[in-house]
Amino acid sequence: MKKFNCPSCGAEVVFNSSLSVYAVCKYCSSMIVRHDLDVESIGTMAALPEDMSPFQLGSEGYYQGQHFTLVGRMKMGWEDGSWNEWFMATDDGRKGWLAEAQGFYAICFETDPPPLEFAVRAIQQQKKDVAFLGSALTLNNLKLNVVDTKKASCIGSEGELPLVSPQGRVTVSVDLLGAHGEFASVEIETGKQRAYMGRYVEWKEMRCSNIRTFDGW
Amino acid sequence: MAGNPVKSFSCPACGGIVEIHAVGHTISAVCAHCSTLIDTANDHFKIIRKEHEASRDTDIPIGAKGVLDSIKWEVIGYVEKKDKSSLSFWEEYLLFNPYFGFRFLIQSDGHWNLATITKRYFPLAGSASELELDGEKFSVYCRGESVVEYVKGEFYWRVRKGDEEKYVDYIAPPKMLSVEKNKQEVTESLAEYIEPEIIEKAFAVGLHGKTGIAANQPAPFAGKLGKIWKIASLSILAAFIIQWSMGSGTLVNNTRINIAQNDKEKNYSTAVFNLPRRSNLSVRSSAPLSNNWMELELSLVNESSNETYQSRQVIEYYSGYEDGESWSEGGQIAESTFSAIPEGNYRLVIDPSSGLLGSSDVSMEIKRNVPAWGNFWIIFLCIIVFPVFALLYRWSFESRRWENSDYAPAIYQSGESDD
Repeated sequence: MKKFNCPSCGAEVVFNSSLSVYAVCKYCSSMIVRHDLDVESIGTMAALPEDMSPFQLGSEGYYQGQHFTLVGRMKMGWEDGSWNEWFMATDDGRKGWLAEAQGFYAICFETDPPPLEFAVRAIQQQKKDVAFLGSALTLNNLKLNVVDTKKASCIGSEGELPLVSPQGRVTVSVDLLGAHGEFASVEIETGKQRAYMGRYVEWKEMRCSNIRTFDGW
Repeated sequence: MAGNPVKSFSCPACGGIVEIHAVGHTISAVCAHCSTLIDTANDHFKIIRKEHEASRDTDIPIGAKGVLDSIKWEVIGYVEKKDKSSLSFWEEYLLFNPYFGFRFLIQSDGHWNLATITKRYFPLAGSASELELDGEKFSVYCRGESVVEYVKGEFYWRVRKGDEEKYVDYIAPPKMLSVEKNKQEVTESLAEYIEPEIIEKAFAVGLHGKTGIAANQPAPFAGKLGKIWKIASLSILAAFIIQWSMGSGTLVNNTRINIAQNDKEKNYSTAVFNLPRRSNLSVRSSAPLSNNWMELELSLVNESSNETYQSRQVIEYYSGYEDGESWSEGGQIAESTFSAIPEGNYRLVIDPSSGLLGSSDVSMEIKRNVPAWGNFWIIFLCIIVFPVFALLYRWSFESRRWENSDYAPAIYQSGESDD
């Protein structure tokens, strides 16, 4: 855990995960980028739109016996809605994310990206001239198929993240599914690819705590 | 935070207040006042389709909350669809829970299903005649094209009247796996049959009765038929073993007599034998007759009381060779049983008559406590009648289920022609 003072308001900003390079100050909403020794403010984050997510910063749970804490969130939007990507701090130090979309939860960890040719085809699909859906891709020896491709942009972020995610950061997001509930996603951003692999999980199996409560629920 | 994040805004068509419950998920909402469909993906609230009609009442009202499988759900959306060619129609209620996500309650002909989207990749979804999910095989039941007839409430996808979709339903009662395909995507959902009484109780509503048999309605004795037959088979085996263990009776007398033609009026008698307790008594007579007959009048006589029990045996055996084939008729053995004979000393008196010239030997074997196989067969029938009924009832149910399908397995196909 590393602590800095917000360059903008002076409040304490904590980086719980050694993987985090970016944080939003919870007092003044400054976007803070961490360098080797110091931190820098790159502007102010607007308030995130409200939603019915059951999670909040500090929510905890389990995945395959491993405890995790949610330390940051990016809210991504696309033409037909939005979803949340929660950054998880885990005891084994892996770069893990809990994706939350349309009432489904998927937990995945960063893995080696596919060949660049995959990104080229995914971007072409955005122009609707290639039949990309259903394409097979092998990641980590697991066969997956493309089920969805969309252009998304960051609506906002909070907490700490392993990447700098200001409002308006644009990515092409490709979702892949396996035959037994495996999930993977490839994020393509200015020629770079990041791949994440994991699986869909049920609400109950995460045994979450410190979650949000809602009246009547 | 005080209260829940409820998003409300003025309908851009009529100005009435529109409230959204699944905030962050909902991207289309229908105004409850004028039925106008509104884009709620962002805060611009564009009109997608303007309407001027009061909203229709649904069997389960939008906003109703109910507990199914110990999870609380709120009804937030309603879609009415019909099949483009068969004109059958069904209703889909969208259920929401902030922790468990979304489910669908689907009603057709008074039958209900609770469905959830499956996040699996099925390479041959829609084209295959069988799909497998977690080791369970689903058989194709129907293929069709649906069109949205009416919408109400809020949705996490873009919905509108007139939307068309191809669908294929696969069944493994009580489950159904449906594949829906439109221009943008393929969606698979897994449904499970749910009794309307459960929904009535959960949402405190009254529903219409069922008609016909639904595609994935659980069959009578579902999952129990194998057990029923196993229990029946084991019971029959047990009855057989019990019967078998009784043995073949105890020999009380073995007599050989020679009946001569000229002794026609003569009676024969066995030696006296003892029945230690009340039991049955069987007499098995065999005579090496050929093209001849013999009749034996049997009298079982109690030595002390002279009480007599009567029986009669006929032995006849004919054989020959005719038109190039050999034939035979009758047999050389006769058996008769005296039932419930009290204990005591007895002898058997035999009064023969026969059609033969010359003489014949007759061997007689008298046994007590002979197991009666008739009892076994009565037990057998009693045991087997229910499993047979269950099997036939099940078969008739499955035949009716598949009547509405173009993909009925051969054993359930009716005899009618296909046109």
